[in-house]
Order: sequence, then C-alpha cells, then structure tokens
Amino acid sequence: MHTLEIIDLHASIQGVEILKGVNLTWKTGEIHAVMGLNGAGKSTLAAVLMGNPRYEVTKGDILWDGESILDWEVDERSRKGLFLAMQYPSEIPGVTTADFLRAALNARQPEGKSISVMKFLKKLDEKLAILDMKEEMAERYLNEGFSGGEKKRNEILQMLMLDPTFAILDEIDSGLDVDALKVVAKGVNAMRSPEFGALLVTHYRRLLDYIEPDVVHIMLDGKIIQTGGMELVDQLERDGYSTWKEEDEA
Amino acid sequence: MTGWTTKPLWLEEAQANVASCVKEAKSRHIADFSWNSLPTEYPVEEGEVEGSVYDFSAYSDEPLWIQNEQQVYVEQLPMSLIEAGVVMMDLQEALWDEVFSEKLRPYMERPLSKDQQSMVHFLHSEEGMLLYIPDHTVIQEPIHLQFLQEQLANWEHVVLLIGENCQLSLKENWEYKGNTYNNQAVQLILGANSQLDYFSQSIGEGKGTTFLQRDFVLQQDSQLTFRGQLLNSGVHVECIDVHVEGSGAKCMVDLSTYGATQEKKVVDVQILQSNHHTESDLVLRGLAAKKGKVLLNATSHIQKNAPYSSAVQKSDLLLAEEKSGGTANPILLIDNNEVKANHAAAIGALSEDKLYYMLSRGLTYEMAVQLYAKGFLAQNGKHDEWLSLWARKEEYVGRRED
Repeated sequence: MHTLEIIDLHASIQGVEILKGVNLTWKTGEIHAVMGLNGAGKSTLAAVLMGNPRYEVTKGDILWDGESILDWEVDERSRKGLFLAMQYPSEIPGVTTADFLRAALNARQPEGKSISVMKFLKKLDEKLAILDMKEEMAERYLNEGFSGGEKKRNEILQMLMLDPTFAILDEIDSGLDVDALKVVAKGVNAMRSPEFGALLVTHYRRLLDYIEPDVVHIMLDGKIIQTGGMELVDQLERDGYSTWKEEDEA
Repeated sequence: MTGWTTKPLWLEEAQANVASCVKEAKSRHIADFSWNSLPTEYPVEEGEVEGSVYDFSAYSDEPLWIQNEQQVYVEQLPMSLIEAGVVMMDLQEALWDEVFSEKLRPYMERPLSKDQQSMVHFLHSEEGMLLYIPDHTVIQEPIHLQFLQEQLANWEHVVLLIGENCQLSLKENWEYKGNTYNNQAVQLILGANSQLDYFSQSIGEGKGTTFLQRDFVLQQDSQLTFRGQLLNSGVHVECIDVHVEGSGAKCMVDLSTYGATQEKKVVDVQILQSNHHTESDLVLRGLAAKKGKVLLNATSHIQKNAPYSSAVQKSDLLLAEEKSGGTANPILLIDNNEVKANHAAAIGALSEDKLYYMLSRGLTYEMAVQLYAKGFLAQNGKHDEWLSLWARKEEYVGRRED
C-alpha cells in the first residue's frame, strides 16, 4: 500500500494564492472525489500535485510514503507512479498516440532497455478494447483533431497503459455524453484495485454514479472544508454549495 | 539510341559562356566558397578502400536508380515500363545521344540561375541521371532515386522530363557521408495535365557543404506535390525555383528542415506564377537546436498575366534552445488584382504547455524535446518513411558523437 499525504498545502500563481492550506490523505485502494465551485482551486490542486512549474508551492508539503515530492520534477513524479488526466490535453502534431505511449513506457525502463514492440502492441490492443477505441486512434497524431470525447478517452487510454499508482482525473467528465462517460468510467473501474488510487475532480454527480468514490471532499476558496462519503454529494445535489459558503464566510 | 562520341557542340558553347563569367557572379548563400579552389584529384591512400560496397539485396524489383557520383550501382526498371518507353539513364549518355540531346537542350542550355553555385554546377552538369517519362504514362509504384555522396566533391545533375497526361510518384533520397562538398541540381519539367507526387529526403553525417538547386517547370493543368525533409548535417542550402507557367497548373511545396550543433540550413523557395488560374501552396517548417541556424525564405510571385490565381504561404520556425537561431522571410509579390493570396510566418520557442504534457507522462526533458522536434518536422511526411529517416539520422548523430 502507498500513501500520498497533502499537508497544509499553499500554492500560488503569479503571486496570487490559490491553494490556502489543503490537507488530504489518499491511499492506494481508495477513490476520492473533490467537488467544488468554479475557482475553488480543484484544478490547481491537480496541477500542483503533478508539479506544474507554473505554480509555486509557498507552504506545506506533499509526501509519498512519507517522502516529500516537492523537489521532484514533473517527469520524475510520473515515473514514480503519479498520473494526471488533464482537462485540456495538449495536441502534439506529428507524434502518434502509439509513439508517444511507447516513449513514455520506454522512459520507465532501465537505461538502455526498451519495451518490445510485440509486448507494447499487445498491451495497447487490450487497453483500446476496454475503451471501445479503434486501433487507428493510436495511429493518429496525439489529440490533434480529436473531439472532446476522444481526448478524454485518450487520457484514460494513457492511464491504462502507464498503469500508475495514483491517478488524478481533472474534470474527465466535462463535455462527455452519457455513452462516452460510461466508457471512461469503465476504464477507471478497470484499474480499481488495492494497488491503485484515484482522485476525481468534478462538478457533477453523474460521474460518481458510474465511479463510486470512497471519500468525497468539498473544496472552497483553496481549502478542503469538509470530507465525508456519498452523503455529501446528496447534500450538494439538494442544497448546492450555499451551506458551506455560509459556514466558510462565518 | 544513337550515341555520339563527343560532347554536343551546344553544350560545349554554353559551358564556355558560363565559365567566362562565373568568377564575377555572386553566391547568394555561401559567400566564402571559392569555386576554383577545389582539388582536382583525390588520390586513394594506402590501405583505403576505393569506393564503398553497399548491400542492395533487400531491394525488390521496383523502379530504382542508385548512383554514387558517376558510378551507377543499380539501374532497375520493370519490363512493363521499358516497353512503355520510360528511360532511366546516365545524363552524359543522354546528352551525347542524338535524340535525348535535342530533348534536353532547351532545359540544359542555360545555368539554372545566376547564382555562382548554380553556375559552377552547370560546368559539371553532365554527371547525373535522366528520368524520361513519355506522354500518357501512368505508374502505380513509386520510382526510387538514390544518390550517395561520399566523394570529396559531388556534382549530380538530375533531369526529370515528364511528358503530358502522366501520373506517377517519385521518392528521392540524398545520402551524404564524410566532409563532402556537394553541388547538385534537379530539373523537373512536368508536362501538361500530368500529376506528380514527389518526396525527397536528405540524410547524412559529416560537416560538408551542400548546395542543391531545384528548378521545376509546370505546364498547363499539371499538378505537383513536392514534400522535402532535410536532415543531413553540415551546411545545406536548398534553392527551389518553381515556374508555374501553364494555365491551371498547381503546386504544393512542403519542406521541413532541422539545424543542430552549429549546422546551418537555408531553404529558399521562389514560386513564380505566370499564367491564369494557377495555384500555389507553400509550407516551410524549420527547427533549430543546439546552436543550429535555420533560414526560411519564401517568395510567391503572381505576375501580371496570372489573373484568377492564388498563392498561400506559411513559414513556421521553432527554436528549441536559446542559442539556436534563425529567420523566416515570407514574401508575397502580387502584380494582378484578380488573385487570392495570404501568408503567415511564426517564429517561436517550444510550447511550455506541450512540453509539460509530455513530461507529465514520464518522458525526460531530452526525450520530450526530441519527440516534439520529430513530430514537428514529420508533419509533411508519411509516418513510416519519417520514422525510418529519423532513426537513420539518430544513428549518424550517435556515430558522430562517438
């Protein structure tokens, strides 16, 4: 089992503080959901966990099994087992999804070694099948000309291929129709195991109907202000964020 | 074919004319090159193997020409093409042949341009090859042309004489080895209503200097798609003049180049549209890394007698590191009001967002930059062709660094 601990995390971008003391403990085998209003800091939390250099951590720590990861570069965090499915994945013209994934897997091999083509293709075919994706999708340039739904599926495909320990899915449900949402959820549920943890950043309940979280966090103004179970989602559906906003203001 | 035993008089006279004024001519791109300082003999040293031995056993029976300076290694045409009148032959043999000499004369009688490099080339212009495609020839399989450059000085002159109503594709490969001086030219005459898909790659090691002048003439309603990828090391200057002379003719030129480790790449494309309803689409793409320099010059000129024509132009230069440099000069010259034209040029660094995305999947910074560069340049190529070219480039770079 692995643990990722976020302790009193403060982070800012261009001098503006976005995260104002986030505390969260996340273990493998657990699915967490983070919900909150626009601007609450959910995507910033995701980016800071991944090590996006645009953000500056001004206080607090992130511990991977007790070891601080703040000094780890983005790629080191990824190779260690952290994955971020991005809300707006970049388009990389001229690089196919298959080439990209192969390079990413090779980066995880010992120096001078690379994954065999046959092994890679077999794994790719398996994962494409889980997501009902056609083989030719992997031969298209990465995210170039992809629809919103295709981009999200592609993010999940990458997650399945890279087999991370902890995955953050930043609004993976935005812009998806019900069928696509089910497929994406199928991909995440396929990963569910005691060796895998996920953190779902979302605005809506509908994703959580397909991927049931073990823990739900409500985030407001750069902090997690309540942690609980699915009952928080029910409360949110019923009352919106007004209760928490009033408490926060008080 | 009826051969002569001497050089045709018209060629001797033309070369003599050029020789008399070449010293005064200027070189647009290689200012410090002295045309007459080249050694005239290259003695083979003791223990050195003269020439190289290549293994061509993997090639199929596809149309293929492989040449190293004057020496033709492979000359292969399927019987069906021979019967159709297709000819691949040594250029000197063609020039000394009564029939082909007259066919070639209109195109060979003058240097391709007044650039000194081009004029110097003209003096050596008998070395090379002719590909002759008669009218109404449709060829499904691509024709492969390979030119290996490993002499101290190389002077290939390639003439592609394509008749009317033809359809074909060409794959051309220039491979440079060692510190060579290369001065080459490719002349293409694309007959009326013909379509050509032309793909060229340059690869190689060494710190040589290459000057490659291309001169394309497009006749009525012909269509040319030319894609080029320059990955050879050293200094490479590629000048492409496209004369869109026939009404309704269309050309698409898309060229990628890469300059690294103090290399310099110059791509200078001029498209001249001189008849009505012509179209041109020009894309130049350059990537400079590790103190490399890339210059992209694009000129599209729609002349007064070319109404209802269009010209589209795009130059994209990516500087991978602070010490790399380059320029993009997009120029549109429009002499007629009844035309459509637009151009765009961008010079920029690698996108931080794209790099972050790649790093977030575990690629190291170096791997991400390499993959990004490869992808950026590969946009005009077929993926498999590109991968194989890039792998060979990496092999060369590795060998050089060893």
